[in-house]
Amino acid sequence: MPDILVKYQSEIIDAICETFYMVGVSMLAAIIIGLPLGTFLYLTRIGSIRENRVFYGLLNLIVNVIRSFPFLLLVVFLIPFTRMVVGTAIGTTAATVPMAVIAIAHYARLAEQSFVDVPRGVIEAGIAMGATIPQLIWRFLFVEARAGLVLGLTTSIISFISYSTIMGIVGGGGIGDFAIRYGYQQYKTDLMGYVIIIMVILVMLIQFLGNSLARLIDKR
Amino acid sequence: MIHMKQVYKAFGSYEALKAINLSISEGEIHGIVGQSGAGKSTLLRMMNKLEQPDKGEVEVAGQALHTLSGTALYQARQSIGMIFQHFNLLSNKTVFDNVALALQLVKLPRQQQKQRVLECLNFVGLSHLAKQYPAQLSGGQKQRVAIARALANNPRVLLCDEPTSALDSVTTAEILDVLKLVNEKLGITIVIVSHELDVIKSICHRVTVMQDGEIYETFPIKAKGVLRAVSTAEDIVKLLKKGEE
Repeated sequence: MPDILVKYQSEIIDAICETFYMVGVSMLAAIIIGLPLGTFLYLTRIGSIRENRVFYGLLNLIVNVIRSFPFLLLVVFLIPFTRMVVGTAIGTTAATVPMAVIAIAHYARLAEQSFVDVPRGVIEAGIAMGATIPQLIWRFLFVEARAGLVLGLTTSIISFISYSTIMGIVGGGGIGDFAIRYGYQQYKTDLMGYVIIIMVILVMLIQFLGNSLARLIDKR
Repeated sequence: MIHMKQVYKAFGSYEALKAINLSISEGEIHGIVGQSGAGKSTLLRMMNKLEQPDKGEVEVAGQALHTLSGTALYQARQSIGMIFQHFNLLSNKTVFDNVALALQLVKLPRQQQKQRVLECLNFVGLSHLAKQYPAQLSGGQKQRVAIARALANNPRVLLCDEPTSALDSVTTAEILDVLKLVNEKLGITIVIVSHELDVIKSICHRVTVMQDGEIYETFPIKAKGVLRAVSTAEDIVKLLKKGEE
């Protein structure tokens, strides 16, 4: 291993842990809140099972606004909200708040897309079989969309890693922040290069795992 | 078994069904034919309330569907089977689980599920494929699974929306044999929408010909014979009645 990596080994490991923490919380937020939100988006779409133009329009607008917000500005804009939720606007935990917000919007949209890809006829068969709305969601929609949901989550996680790199601005730390502080600001270009390689490997690994899992559960 | 009285349905300004009156008796195989856009699919979908009538009454298997909603509607639908042109099986579930799904919806105990699924798969002759996924089956096999799924909850009516239109002629004949068996052995009333007159002619007891959202004529089928492509409702009636006497 290059000497410079050995020298900064413990800092790098800490930074990776911070990244995992931020990305992990975002991922949980995406699943716990983003997935139901995506389900509501799908259900209330025009022509869908529980069409509701007002509800869909509102939800759609919120998701679009959050997604189109430049992320750096979103982080700053959310500072009062962050302070309300976790008591501080500085640090790794504080950094998870804007990341969770973007994660929810990001994954809600991807989940909605996966649901739209489920053939309409399968849902219709469920309705004809007398399935209730919860049964339609759990036993038809989620079952048929599951590979898309996994691939969407993989895409989301990789985006979160990318988003996490700028969390240094609120003292969030993480591997991206490490690369900026040591590699860029202290002119250790080689160190920055190594960190980038680590991140590329990390992302490729996540993509590989996501693809493999999706292939395993996709019987189409 | 099925009674429709003065049923109307419009999609926006387009009138899909106009003043439909139709009675189908128990044990009958009833065909619905007509050009595309004549309203035959809409009519069929009224019979399990996939489409809600704007006006009129729809009674199926003793249930006044037009008055039902919520749990009562879900329960009524469980006793009305339906199969589709594109089968609409869950591709991520095995053949066994696809049929079991119908039983899970009514919360049948697991042990009874297994027995019932195997009965249904045996009936359509597919119990040896229980562990396969739909992607591994031929079109005809998929439609058999769909029939098994539709039979699982002992329906009194089976609605078939273009059941053989995605199949070749040999497979079509096989599926029609299964449907005949469903009708004769289980006494289930069958309604078939099809644009294939051969299908109607070879299996139906009576047929309703539709045109522009209205019933053009309903009459019994007695004649056998080969049919060719036709266009208007008048042609269809003529051809289906030919050789009757």
